Amino acid sequence: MASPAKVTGGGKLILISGDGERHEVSRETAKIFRALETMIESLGDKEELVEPIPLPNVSGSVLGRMIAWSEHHVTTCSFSAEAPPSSPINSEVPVQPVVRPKVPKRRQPQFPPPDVVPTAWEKDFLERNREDLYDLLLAANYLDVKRLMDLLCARVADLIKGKDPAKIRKTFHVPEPS
Amino acid sequence: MDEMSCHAVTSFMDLPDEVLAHILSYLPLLDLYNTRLVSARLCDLVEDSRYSHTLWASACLESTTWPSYRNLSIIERAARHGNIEALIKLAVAYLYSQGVPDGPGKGTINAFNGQKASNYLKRAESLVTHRQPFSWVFIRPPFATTCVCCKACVCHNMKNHCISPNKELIPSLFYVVGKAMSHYENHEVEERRQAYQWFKQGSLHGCPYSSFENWKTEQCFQDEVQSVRQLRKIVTSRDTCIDAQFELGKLYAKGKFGGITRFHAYQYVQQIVRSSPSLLSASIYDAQPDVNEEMVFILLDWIVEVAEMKSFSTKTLHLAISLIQRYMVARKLKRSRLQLLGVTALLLAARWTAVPIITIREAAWLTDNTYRYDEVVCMMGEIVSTLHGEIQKPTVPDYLEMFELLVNADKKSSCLAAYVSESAVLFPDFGRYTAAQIAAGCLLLARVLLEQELPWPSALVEATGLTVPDLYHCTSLLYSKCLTDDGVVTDYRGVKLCAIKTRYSDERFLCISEMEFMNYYMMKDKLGVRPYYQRRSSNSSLLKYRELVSQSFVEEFDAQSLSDVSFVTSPLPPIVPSSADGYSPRASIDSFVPSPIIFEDSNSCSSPSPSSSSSSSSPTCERQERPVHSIKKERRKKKERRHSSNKLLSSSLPLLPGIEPLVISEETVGFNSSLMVTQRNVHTPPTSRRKSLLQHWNSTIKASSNHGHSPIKANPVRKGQRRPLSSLASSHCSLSNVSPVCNHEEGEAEMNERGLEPPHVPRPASSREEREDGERSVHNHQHKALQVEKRAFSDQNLLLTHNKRHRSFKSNNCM
Repeated sequence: MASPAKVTGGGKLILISGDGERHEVSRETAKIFRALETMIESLGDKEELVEPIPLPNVSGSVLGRMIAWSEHHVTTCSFSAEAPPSSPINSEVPVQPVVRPKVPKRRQPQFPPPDVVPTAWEKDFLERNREDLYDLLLAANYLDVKRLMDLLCARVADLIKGKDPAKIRKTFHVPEPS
Repeated sequence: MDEMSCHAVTSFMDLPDEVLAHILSYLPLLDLYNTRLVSARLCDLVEDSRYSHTLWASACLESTTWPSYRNLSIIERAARHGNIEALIKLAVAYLYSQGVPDGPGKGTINAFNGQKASNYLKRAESLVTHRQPFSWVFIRPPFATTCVCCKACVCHNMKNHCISPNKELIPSLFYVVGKAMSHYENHEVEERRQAYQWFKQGSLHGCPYSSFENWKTEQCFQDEVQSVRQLRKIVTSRDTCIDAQFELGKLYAKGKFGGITRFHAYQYVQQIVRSSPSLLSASIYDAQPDVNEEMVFILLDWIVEVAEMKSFSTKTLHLAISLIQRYMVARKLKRSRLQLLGVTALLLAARWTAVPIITIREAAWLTDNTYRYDEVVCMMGEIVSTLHGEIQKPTVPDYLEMFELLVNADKKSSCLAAYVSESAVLFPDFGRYTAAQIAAGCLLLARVLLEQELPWPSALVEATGLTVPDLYHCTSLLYSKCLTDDGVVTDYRGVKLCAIKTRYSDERFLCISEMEFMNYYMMKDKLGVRPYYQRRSSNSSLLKYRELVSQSFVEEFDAQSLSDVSFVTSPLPPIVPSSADGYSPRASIDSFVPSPIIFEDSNSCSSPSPSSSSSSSSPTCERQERPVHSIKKERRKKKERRHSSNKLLSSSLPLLPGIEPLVISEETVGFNSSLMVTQRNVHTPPTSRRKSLLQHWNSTIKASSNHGHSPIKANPVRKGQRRPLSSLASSHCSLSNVSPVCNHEEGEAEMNERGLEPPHVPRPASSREEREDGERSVHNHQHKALQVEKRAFSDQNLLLTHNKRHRSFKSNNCM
């Protein structure tokens, strides 16, 4: 059971892009794509996946860059370390729970996502890929890569900020409303 | 980033709704409103889709967005969706009648606005659950007595809300009312009793903050075990009540375990330590293009001075600094508003913690009327809304108190620890440590320096989970930053900013800052941890570090630790491993030569080539040729980046000796002007802090204009750059005075003494429009710069009359 592949984080996976390019990635790398996570976990200890995974919505070049992204983040783990400590102080100390009177529940508004400050590598990554930002955005959305999604969206939002509607239309090639 | 390329495969409008909504969620409120007009699809998304509620509720309000007749409807709409920032800003705007339309009829304005403000505050409080209610900061007494006080109206409204049976129950409102009641100035027994009753009601309705207030009152009447148990109950509730947590921690530290074992109690203390927030100060500058470390240092130094003048506690000071840092992480700040942020943060911190508060008018006066009453009000709303009402966060003194109780620290060591901890917050270097680590480092350092037996006893290890090796880095950095003059920012004349040192040279603090301590190496020796380069380790970063430290240095280390006793006379090269990417070898030239001469001296020593520029008067510099090289290269790159963004500052302030190595080389473009000032003023010994600074600022303006070969009037200053400098200076000046009148007279005498031409007369009445429009207009900036210059020279008397007029104008608003 204890195969050497398991020690190094599982065997390889083969991803096939919409235009037929084959990309071989390790399981750990592929796990950054949260859309594939459950599938990979269901594979369990199997050495090698025979069936390649088709990703019809992603083109070959974009998939290559997505893999570059995830490979970087597997090695550095920069953003998983930034996650806030899960429980505040008061989760411990064994005392009987306080009996609280019923308080009417209110809908808690979802606060804006935390300010995403890209690291140097991420900045460079975004800069290199400014040509097809939206393809990357679609792929990130499809593969469910949260941090990349946040960074890209923040970047596009920066383009909108402080502009009047006409200028926004010009920037994004939106046709004039008739 | 500029325009998008037009041949992208996918275009913006091809993106699915969810992605577009995600993009829109990063937009500030007014921009979000604008996008409705771009296309029908975006309009639908913003106005009427399943995303629109979240978009409106979560959009942030930029710092420039304040309720006015133009955007009131938009902000009110966001508030209806439960946008917390909009709610708080509207509440403050109505509370102080700032930018919002007047209500019906003249006499009822305050009552009308009070009603509005209390509604917004109630809504905000009901949304901010699990956090300490904050609205009492705005409505706490003293109330105005001359007319209908808006704060009193809000308070009254809230009381009515609480007691009427058919209104929605908001438990935290009881706390808000109680807290406001307990701050009545005259401390009437009756009001205290009322406040107690409000807290009682609040705790019945499940507000742990009220319960804690009650616990504080009842504590003395109760059996010890009982009271500890009760406090534990409060702490284990869902809401994080920071004060209660630390109170419990302190009780445990005193050995009052209240029925649980020592192990469990210490587990709890460890949890508090682990969850401590980091100081964040390092990440501030990544997001702030217009502000740099020296500016913040000058600001914080000034804040310390004000706090000292008002005799605020260390806690208030730390809270103010925490507010400043958290705000700066969240929002970009213009340089011209830096001091406004500082004074407002202090105002909020004072209202939160201290009994004597700063009034808004006083805050404006403290900045030498650089900012007006209404600007301070807006900033107050801005800070609280940006932080979503989370004013309090655990700070260093909270932890320090707890740790001191664990070892029964004497007054001397606690004074020293407090001194070090206050100095530490000035430096961004400590941003990577948590507040608890810094507190522990301060205590350890204090105990080592005072040569106490067992500087870090086992009780501390058990309770905090921190050991001496854990604290080694932090402690040595604390020593080199806070107890030597290395990191201290000097103004351009070489006068060190040392408000904290002055503060702690008082007898209240046992003159702790004037004591002499053992030198750096003896301190390290006492710590009992062998320096890293002597350890056997395969860790790569340690290897790198060892590589950097040459053998000759190790030998020197041994020789010096035997010979030098007092660090004041020792050369002291504080070699501190500062981060993973290396360490900061700093030649402390300061200890050899008096500061004003440094620049001339080192300048003559340095030659254009970077390698030889390091071999100045410090002996340690010579021994580190190889490593210093590479590090310096990196440094230079960093510095160049900073300099390019802040050219003007670099010309008016010298390099920071502590943070940058003291290398004067060709890249410091603007250095000449500061050198000129140095030479000019070298023979005028500062008689008092106030005087010297006023002279300083006047002479910078003069020097910079001479430098540009043009008289003051014709010298255009880039927009918004001169003002904070001059305002910071003039506020330094106003501090040492008891009243503005006195300030005025001395100021005038000073200028005559300096032989300056009579001050230009500013136009105080028009300054408001100028400020508002001036920020945006580009073509007008020369005129504005002139105005700013004038402001620096301004006749304080006129400002004073302006202030008076302002006061009478505002007199119907309380405070």
